[in-house]
Amino acid sequence: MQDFKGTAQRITDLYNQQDLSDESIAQQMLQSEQTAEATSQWRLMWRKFKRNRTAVIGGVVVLLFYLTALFGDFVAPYSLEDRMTQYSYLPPQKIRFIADGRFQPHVYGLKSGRDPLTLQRTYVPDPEHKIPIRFFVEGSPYKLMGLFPTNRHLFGVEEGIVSILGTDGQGRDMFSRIIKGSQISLTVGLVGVALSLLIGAVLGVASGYYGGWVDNLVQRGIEIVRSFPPIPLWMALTAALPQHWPPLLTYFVITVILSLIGWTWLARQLRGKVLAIREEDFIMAARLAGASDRWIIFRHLIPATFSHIVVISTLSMPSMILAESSLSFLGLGIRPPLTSWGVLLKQAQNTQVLLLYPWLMIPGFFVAISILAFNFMGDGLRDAADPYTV
Amino acid sequence: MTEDTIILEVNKLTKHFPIYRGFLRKVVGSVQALNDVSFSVKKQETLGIVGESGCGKTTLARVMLRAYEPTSGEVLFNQDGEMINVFSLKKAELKRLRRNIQIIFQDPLSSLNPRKTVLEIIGEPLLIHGVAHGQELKSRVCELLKMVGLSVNHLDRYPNAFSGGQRQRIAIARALALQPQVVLCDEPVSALDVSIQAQIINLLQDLQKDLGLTYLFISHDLSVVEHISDRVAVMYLGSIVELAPSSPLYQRPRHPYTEALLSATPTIDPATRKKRIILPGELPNPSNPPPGCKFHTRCTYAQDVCKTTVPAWEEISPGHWTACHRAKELELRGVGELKSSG
Amino acid sequence: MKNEEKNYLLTIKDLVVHFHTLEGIVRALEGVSLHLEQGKTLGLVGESGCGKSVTAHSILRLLPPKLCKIKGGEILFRQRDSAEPIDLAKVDPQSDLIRSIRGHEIAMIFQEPMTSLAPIYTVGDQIMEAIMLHRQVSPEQARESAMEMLKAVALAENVVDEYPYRLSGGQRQRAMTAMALSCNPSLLIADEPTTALDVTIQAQILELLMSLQKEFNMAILMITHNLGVIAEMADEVAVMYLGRVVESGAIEQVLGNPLHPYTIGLLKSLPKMGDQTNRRLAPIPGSVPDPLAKVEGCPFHLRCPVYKQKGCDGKELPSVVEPEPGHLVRCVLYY
Repeated sequence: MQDFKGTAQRITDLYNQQDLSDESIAQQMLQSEQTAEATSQWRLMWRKFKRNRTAVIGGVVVLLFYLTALFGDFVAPYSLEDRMTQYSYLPPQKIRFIADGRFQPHVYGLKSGRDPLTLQRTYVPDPEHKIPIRFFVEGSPYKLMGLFPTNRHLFGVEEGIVSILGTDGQGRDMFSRIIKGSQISLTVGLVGVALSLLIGAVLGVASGYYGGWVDNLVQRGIEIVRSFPPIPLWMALTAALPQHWPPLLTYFVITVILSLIGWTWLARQLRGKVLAIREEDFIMAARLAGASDRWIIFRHLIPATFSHIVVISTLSMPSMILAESSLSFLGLGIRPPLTSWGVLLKQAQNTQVLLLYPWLMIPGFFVAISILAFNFMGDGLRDAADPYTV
Repeated sequence: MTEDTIILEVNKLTKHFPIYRGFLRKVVGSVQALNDVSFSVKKQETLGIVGESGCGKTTLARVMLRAYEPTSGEVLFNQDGEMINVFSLKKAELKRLRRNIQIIFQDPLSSLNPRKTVLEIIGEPLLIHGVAHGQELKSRVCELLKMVGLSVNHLDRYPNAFSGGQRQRIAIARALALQPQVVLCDEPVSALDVSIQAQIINLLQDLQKDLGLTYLFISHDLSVVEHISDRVAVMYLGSIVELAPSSPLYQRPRHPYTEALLSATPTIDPATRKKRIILPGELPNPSNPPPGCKFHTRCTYAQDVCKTTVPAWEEISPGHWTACHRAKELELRGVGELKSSG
Repeated sequence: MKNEEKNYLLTIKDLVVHFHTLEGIVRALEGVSLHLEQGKTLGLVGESGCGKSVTAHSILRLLPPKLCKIKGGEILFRQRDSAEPIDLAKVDPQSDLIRSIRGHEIAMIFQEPMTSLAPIYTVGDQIMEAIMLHRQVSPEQARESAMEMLKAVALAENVVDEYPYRLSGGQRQRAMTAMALSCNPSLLIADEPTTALDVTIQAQILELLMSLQKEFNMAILMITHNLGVIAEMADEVAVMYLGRVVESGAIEQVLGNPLHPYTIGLLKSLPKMGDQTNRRLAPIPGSVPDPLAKVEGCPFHLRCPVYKQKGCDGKELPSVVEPEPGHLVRCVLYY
């Protein structure tokens, strides 16, 4: 029964005889290992993001909003200034889909009258008068994405009016105006975040990487900026804008004003990330290989924080949108003839108006949806970018 | 195998990290990470540096590479027959020196940028120094990959696709990219499993033979250090307490701390459970080290003189240095004796 | 592994545990069998990913219930006052029963005592909490026993009012041990208890565990990757690879006369101290396969030199054989 010791000895000898040249080790490793497929940071992030349903829904909504804004003139049946005064304060119309037993979207024609008591205008739909909704109809001319002149709209009617979200006091279609407003409201955020990024990324990365007095200076600066209450600060700044400036210029200046405060949060977040990454051995390895500060910042730190920059930008969009809406609501932001959601909401400042024409509140609903969507998407991105969650 | 040319010399190297307190960052004390550390390394030898956490061995490696500026002392490197002081070099000269001294870190997960491919990681030093670009860079990296036993098919993969051992091979390839003469290995196998650890040790030994490398091998594992080193230095609380060729050091240590370390290390020989020397107490606070011999608070052989006077750094037999007042009189037990007394 | 049911304190039979991760199923344990006698030490050794920690966590049912399922097998534990062992594998992990066993009859110490001790309570508070959870005593009595426990692990009495961050790594491991032993458990699971510690401190803790074991007559399940620690501490040892025990037996048998190619390879990979021959290490080639990959047949065949030399076909899962009494090995070469 001493046989087993002989077997053990044979195994030991096999170990000793092994061909252990590097070549053969590589061969063996290839055989015995099922290495994971090559996956980049972004692929991993995308895979994780996809699993988060609310985040994906948020992302889809955001995408939808921007697509609509991009093709706004095409999607909106009317232009910004199409006034249909005979239809002022028209409540949202009901769209019916089946006519004469087949699929034919249509709205009823309207008979207008006045309420004998309040003298308010009232509209009575006339079931006999079906106005079919046509697709790709001709309407008021515009330039698609500012480039291609055309007059086709996604949908519209040849007579009467189609107004799925109602009209305002001047008979302007709310749906069209909300879409046009989104072009401003959603891009103010984009431009504002981009500007904040520029300031915040440079100062945040520098502050985190160099530390010492640079860090001290930037951090104290941030504290000072943040210690101002934002709304009065914005008010003061916008009030200083000359009234005679063209609306487009005002729009740009407002994005700059918004980003003046937005960058602080971003810089703080990035500084924290950089502080953590700076301590990683691969930064030390690069330094000890002779890399300059510039090399390390541009080849290691910024790429490493890039996913965080994306996340932080997404998460700071809502505050930008809100800030623009608040400013415009107060009459300090975007001014007509430009329109934003905040400008539209300004009509709903009066409780009387609210009670009688509640559909004027609908732009607020769009503000809320876009903010929620951005937050859901941002949260999902944040989780996906975190290497410590599965 | 080793020539007698000195390639690296460390003279009275001291590094104190100041401790700041309060808003105005007043210096209230300092952590004495390195104190008067001196040794020299011969061409193509492996000098092992062993000690417990907080003994200053990692700081030593980083100060030697000038990742931190030293408080005092010098590190001389033999560059083409001329001893140059690492700390007096200007930026460009320092960059040139970095091609000759490289480092391998403990944790290959942290030492490889997770966002870069193998090609980018190993090629980075070559790019920094403008040694190779494009196709040439790629073929250099392929050579390096083969050298460390990895497949060239791995070029476009990210570190997360590799096991711990493979990651450490990538880190070794990066360290060798610039064809350095000296490689500082800072616990290169401590994060690896036993079987992988042995593969990496063999690889390091083969590379040393093939490329004529000089290693400074830092580890807390006494058996690994003995296996790979020609000479071993034992560190305690920022100082070297003993330095000798590995065989005499392990067989007949001359410093009580070395004896205690050897005794505390568990061995796999089940027949002989050793009689351990259990050191009492803990490592003293390096910001407030004890006076005299720093080891006296835990030393079983300590006498009054140890509490007051710092022991001299003496060559007790040829090539065997130690700093202990009682080195000559004590009969300390090495690995062999520890076993037989079990 | 044999059918004769000695009075083992703990018997694990064919334990199968799978983790259902988003990437796929990780077969953490594929049929683990172990037994441990009262008052003895069983060492569980293997490289990372072999399932040794999962085994320990399964005993206390500490694994995340959503992620991981016990697919089969038994964990028989003999409680203090009952003749019949209970099967912990069938116990609800949220039940009062398992809670009364955790900490009371089976205690556990971990690798990193800093994260296992709550930072905002004093050491004394935490030991007292453990005591009062399982015993009907007044806070004063609990404090009294906490001080006694601290003395037993050679900590000064004033540590009772210290916060964990004020202690060194070794002291924290002692405090953790004091907490674990405060209810006099019959089984202590030590999961890499000295891995984060320096050798001189490790020696202190090992010595402490051995003396406490004698004093309290408890069994220890020692989990570590360090064969040296096992050699010094354990009476019996089980070597695990890829969720299976490949070799087990008395410590002298397994380490003195290893049989399984994996055990032999592990021992050959280890540099021996005081070995002046400076022989080249003979490592096990390759590395542990991806945890998501299912290895068919013998778990070790992909790295086995015998398989490489066509010494066996590796296709079939070898059954356990016993070449010498008490020494079990799972390898076809010993059929």
